[in-house]
Amino acid sequence: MRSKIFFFLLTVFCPTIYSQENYPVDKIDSSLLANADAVIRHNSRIVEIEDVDKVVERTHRVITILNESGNSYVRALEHYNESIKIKEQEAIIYDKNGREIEKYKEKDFKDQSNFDSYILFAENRISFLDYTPREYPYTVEYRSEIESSNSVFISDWFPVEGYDISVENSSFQLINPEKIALRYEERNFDDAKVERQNSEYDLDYSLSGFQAYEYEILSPSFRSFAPQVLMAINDFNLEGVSGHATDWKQFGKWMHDNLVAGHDEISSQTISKISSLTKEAKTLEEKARIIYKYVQDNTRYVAVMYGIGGWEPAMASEVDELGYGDCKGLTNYTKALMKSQGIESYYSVVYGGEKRNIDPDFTKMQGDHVILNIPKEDGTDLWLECTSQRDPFNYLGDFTDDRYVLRLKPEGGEIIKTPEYSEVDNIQKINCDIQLNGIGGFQANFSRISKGVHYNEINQLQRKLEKEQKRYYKNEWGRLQNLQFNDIKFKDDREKIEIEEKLTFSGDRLATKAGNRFLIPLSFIQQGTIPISKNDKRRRPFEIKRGKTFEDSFTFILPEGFSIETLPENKLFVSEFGSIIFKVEASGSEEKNEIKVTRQLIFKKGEWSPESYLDFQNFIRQVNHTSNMKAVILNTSKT
Amino acid sequence: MIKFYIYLFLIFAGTSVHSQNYKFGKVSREELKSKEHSTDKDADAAILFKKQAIYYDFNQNTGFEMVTDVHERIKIYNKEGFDWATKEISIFTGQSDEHVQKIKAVTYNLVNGKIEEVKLDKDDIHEEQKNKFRKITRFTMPAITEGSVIEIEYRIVSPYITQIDPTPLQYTIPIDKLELDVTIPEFFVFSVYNNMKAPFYVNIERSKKGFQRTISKTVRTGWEVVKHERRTGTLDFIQNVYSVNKENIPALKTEPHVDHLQNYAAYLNWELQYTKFPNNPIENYSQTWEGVAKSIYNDVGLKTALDRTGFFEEDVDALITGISDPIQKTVKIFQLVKDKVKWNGYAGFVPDEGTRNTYKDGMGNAADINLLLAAMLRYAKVNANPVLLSTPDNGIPLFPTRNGFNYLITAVELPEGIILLDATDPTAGMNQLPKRARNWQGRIIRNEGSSDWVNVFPFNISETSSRMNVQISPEGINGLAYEDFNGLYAKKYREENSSKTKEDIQESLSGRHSNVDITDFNLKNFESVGSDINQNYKFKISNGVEVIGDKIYLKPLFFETLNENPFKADERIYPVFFDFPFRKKHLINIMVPEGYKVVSVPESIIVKLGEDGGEFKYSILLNGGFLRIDSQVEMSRAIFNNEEYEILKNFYNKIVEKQNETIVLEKTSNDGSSERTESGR
Repeated sequence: MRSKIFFFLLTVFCPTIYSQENYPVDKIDSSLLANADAVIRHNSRIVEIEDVDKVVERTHRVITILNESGNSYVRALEHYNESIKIKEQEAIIYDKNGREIEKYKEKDFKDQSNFDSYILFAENRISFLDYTPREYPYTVEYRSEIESSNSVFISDWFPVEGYDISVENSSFQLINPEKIALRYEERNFDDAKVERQNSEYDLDYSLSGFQAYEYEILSPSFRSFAPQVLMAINDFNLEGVSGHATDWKQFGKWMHDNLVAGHDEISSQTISKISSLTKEAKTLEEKARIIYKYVQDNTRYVAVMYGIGGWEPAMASEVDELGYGDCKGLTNYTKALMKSQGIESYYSVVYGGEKRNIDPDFTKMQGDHVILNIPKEDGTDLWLECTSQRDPFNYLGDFTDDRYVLRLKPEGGEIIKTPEYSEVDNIQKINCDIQLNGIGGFQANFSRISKGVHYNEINQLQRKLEKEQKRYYKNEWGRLQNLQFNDIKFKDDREKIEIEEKLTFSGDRLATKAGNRFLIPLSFIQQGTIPISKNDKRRRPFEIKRGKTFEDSFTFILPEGFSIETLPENKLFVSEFGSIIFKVEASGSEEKNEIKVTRQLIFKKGEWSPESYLDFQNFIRQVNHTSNMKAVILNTSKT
Repeated sequence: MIKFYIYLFLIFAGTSVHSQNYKFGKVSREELKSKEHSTDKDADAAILFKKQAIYYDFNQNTGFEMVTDVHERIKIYNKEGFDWATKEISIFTGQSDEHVQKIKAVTYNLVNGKIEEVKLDKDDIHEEQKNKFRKITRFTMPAITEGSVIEIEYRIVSPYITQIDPTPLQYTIPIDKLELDVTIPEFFVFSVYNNMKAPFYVNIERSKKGFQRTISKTVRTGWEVVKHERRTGTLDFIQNVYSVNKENIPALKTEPHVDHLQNYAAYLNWELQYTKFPNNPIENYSQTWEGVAKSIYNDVGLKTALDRTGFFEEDVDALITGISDPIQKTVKIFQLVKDKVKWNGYAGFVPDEGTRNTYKDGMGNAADINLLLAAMLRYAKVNANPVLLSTPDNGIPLFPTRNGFNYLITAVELPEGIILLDATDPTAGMNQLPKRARNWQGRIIRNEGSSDWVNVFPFNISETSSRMNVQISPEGINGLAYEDFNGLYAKKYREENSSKTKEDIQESLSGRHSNVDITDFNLKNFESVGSDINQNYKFKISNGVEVIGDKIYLKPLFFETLNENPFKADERIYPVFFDFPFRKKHLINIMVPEGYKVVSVPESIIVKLGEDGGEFKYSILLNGGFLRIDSQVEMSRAIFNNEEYEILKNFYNKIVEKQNETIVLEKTSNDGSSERTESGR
């Protein structure tokens, strides 16, 4: 009954929305213009679940773009494929006074395929408004209707779409005439004016007068603080496969049974090949290591996605034959090979890239990547990234570390966390002797050991051509001029997962000339600098996503005829964010013609309140100041 | 006798290694076994053989069509080379479609000493309709491992018979053997050119070959009684054959800061000169630059666009009443077009929307906008003409072809000189072309299609100059800066800050250096496009000096110091392009702080860049309580060829070295001990 009353209200209310037509820019409240590149004037999204396999979504979106950076917020576009059909699409462009400039009918929208360049083929296409703005601000009014059969993906409500965008009014309705059981969760409503008129089966939200967020460095992810409503229906459909789930256990079971189970058959030839390879191996880990190497040597990453192929792995036998697959196919293939040797392993869904969890508290289809979990009794599970031909065994790096994943077991889904690399694991350790010459240049013997998330960058570097390696170092160490490399070597320990770079190189400029003195920058190579801007009015919390340790030991050997004039003092600064220790001393047996510097910089993982930002700035200042400390040496032979 | 046999055997063995069999499927054990390329150890993959045949076929229903047959054999040495196992074939679709046919592809691997073949399955070939005009056929080869050899064969059939795409002769991996045959009926006369910027040219062998085909057709004859009659005839003509046969083609090496790498690859360019069909007159397409310009002028609507004035006459009349000076008229009309019309992002010398619609709707491509400008100027009795040119991504027009052009601007010729105008760019003043239009030469088309070259690459020096007055204390630095930008520096400034407010500009100025605070920012002439920009501001540097012991060390250019040499590589294969010739001047007055004296200053120097390339001047004077530093960097030209790279790099080294030398100040009071505690601040 309530929903009917609401409908009545809506029909009365609608004309007033539409009569505010043309949306002149001077009607925008000035408070919404601060920090904004775009303003959502009106955005109504109505999702109607006609059935578990028929969801209709109507959008009426009016957005004013204030400047060039705001163009990406026009979003007058629809993605479509075999199971999402565009029923209607049109747009009108207004100038800043609300005068109509141009009208786009359905056929005027540009149509093209739409998938990332690393994917060989996917069915996804996009139909978008291709409008070249002639002046700013301008306003786009957009209407669309789409119909999807995949009700597993009802999209959540995110009325504030990103940084630098304000919202005059944004509303959302879920209409659910079939009364399919619904779950939803509201988040981050504290600072937002949200009105709601929900009933048991229907949702109705609106947000108004929301000022744009300004980006702040080291911010936690946008979705962790933006207002949102997560939602899902308990009975759903994906490409003709129906399901029912209210929690992760059920959802994981559904995924396992319908998408993953029964995909792991492989030919007896391959099994016997694997069996003979692992014959000598004694422990589970040794066997798994051999199998992982086999997968790395015999497959590569290629993604092809038709229909349900976007969610279902290719058959293991097919991957075996073709020698390629996407993350799902390769993970499932590795799982099948493990199984053939009696090793139990699990297909695990994750978000790759920037840290993002599979939401432990809200069950719905999530994730964009798959990795393989091999449980061990002592709890130190093994984790395999099956799409890489180069990663060491049991190495996730910063692509999938420290986050919640959905592990699919035959008995159901489980949310577990991947291993974290802490400041004890993420280490770069430099040991370097620097022979200075009398004209500001130097010759260096350099060694650096990298572990944890740092391993990956150097692991990739070692495979590049020597010319590119030189380019990498020259760019990294730009302030050292005219570098000449005599030798570049790598020592890769894939079992311990640490890699050492050994270089000898020389450069024309290190010391700064000041008459017959030279200033020597004592942090020969500055590791771990964080560029932060001054911000005395920090609004939101800040975070350091991973702890890291940098340890340097530099020995400077003075040129003939020079002596140390001034050395800076030692320094120790400890804070909740980390610490810096800097020691400098004159050394070298009798002549004291050496300067020895040790430096240790630690960043700790954590999230802090905005009030702590001043302290953090101070910490960074201390670090930068320490990194810039110089010694003065004097040419005594001339005086 | 035995000796003789051995001798014979050796000869055979020797030749069998060297003579490869390039027939499809005849992949050898040696090819599969090889671990690295024989001459290029760094190669991740290599094209062992590529044959491309382009020829015309006669289809009874549709007439001539162009067929391209490709056969490639590719060796993959390591995992980095796996990308070469994926093939993309891009074709045109639209009014009529090109088609990809007869794809055949096989992967070969050596497994336990035996050659194993895995064929590409038809189901694993994917077709993507990228957009209305482009369709991509894409597949990746099965069973790829390090050491695999793949063979791919396919055919493209095209209805576009007057256009032959550039035929590649070089890739980013080496090619061991390349065969190209282009067979063209005598009716189509093409000219063919090597890319002059490529590291090598190929010899093109020319020969002739007959074409004979019996065709039969059903024809309706008779007046009153219609009869169907089958007639046969023979199609018989001569074909010109162009062949390239080349071995051991090196890989194209990538380098940073090259304008467009593909511009430096070896390829052949094909341009239709004329067609001559039996019983038809010769139809000319292009032969000379004069001819190309004329044909563009007449064919694609330049002439019409320039003559069409009705729709703007009133507006232009109103705008220029009472003005007789042609420069003043140009200023007004240029501004009008820039205000009224926005560029839609497309290059082109062919008007797309037409000048009338462009004016009405306020949007068009480069040709629309600049032809509209030229037409208006001509209507106002200003001597304006269109100029055809080639944007950097289109390469340099070396041969007389229409493809050599892809952009159009307007030139006004006055006794005082030429003014180049591009109204697609709102930040461009007169003679301030955007970067896309500053490529080598343009072809100006005057009355009735006669034409001539004009320079569009900037030769005049653009200048920035800054004056700073600075006060120093151990706590920090305070100063006042005045900066002027002229010419293309002013344009660049407007471009970079186009959508910013004054506050944004000040903020980004502050943001450039983490330790500099900027206040009291003033900006003059930003809006008046074409004129010099002036800005001034107060600044405060928090750690701009080193205080060590009782001495202060400072770099006198402060945040204007060039800290890094932009040229880091040891050598360079391709030329270096600066945006334009420039001069950067810094004049700094530093007040020596109370209680300090000057211990040492860097020596003054003058460094020349080659004979005529440029100059770096640096001098310091101590005058009473003031240090006056004068630094000038001048780059007299904008293009340096690769042989000049070393000189250029050393020149920059000198600038970096000198600008980084410090001035040393020392406390004059003898009480140095209390200052010691300050060390390390």
